[in-house]
Amino acid sequence: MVLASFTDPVSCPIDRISHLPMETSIHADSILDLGEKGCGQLVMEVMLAMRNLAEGQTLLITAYDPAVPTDLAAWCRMTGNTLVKILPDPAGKQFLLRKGR
Amino acid sequence: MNNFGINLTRSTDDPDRATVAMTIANASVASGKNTMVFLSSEGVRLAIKGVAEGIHEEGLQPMADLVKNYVAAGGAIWVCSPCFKKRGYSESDLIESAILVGGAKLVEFMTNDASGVSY
Repeated sequence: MVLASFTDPVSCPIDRISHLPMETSIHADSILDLGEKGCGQLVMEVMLAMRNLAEGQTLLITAYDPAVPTDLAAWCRMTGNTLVKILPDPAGKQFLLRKGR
Repeated sequence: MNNFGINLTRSTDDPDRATVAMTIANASVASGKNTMVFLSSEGVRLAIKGVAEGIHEEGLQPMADLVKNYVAAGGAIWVCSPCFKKRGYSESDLIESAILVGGAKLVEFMTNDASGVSY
């Protein structure tokens, strides 16, 4: 499923996230728009969304809270999931997560 | 280290602080940690039926949603027994997901490789 298109270089401020020089489309198995949600509410909704995915499937999250990049990276480290990449969005950022075991 | 304890001493007397504590509790349980909220002093009122529904700090998630989601995700709510009794409550006043505990239960949890925060 093609969910979004981007023409700007990918911005990846967090270590160990893959850098892609140019991205034209993002494929994900599921999407989640979290708007301005953050902190506990955000990770709770991410956890519930990831429960519906099988190992290796991906979730594309849109979120505007400024703490989301660091929070999602920490959440992935704790839960065995992968933050594949962060993409700019006109109003915030998009995050592609891959489900681990 | 997978045990995470949150000591919460506030409720209706400080909705801001109480809501932030439960937000962190949600983050912890959603991150796969064995999470326990210890309600003590004024915090015990959060375990009384109907109290959480009356707390909605502006700019934060409603307390009732936080408690419901936290419990549904497997989070534990422990209530300081002497703090509870001191305020004249009885067990029939407790929300279903909360249990009354004494100090030994808390000490056992926290000394079992737990970390935690206090509000």
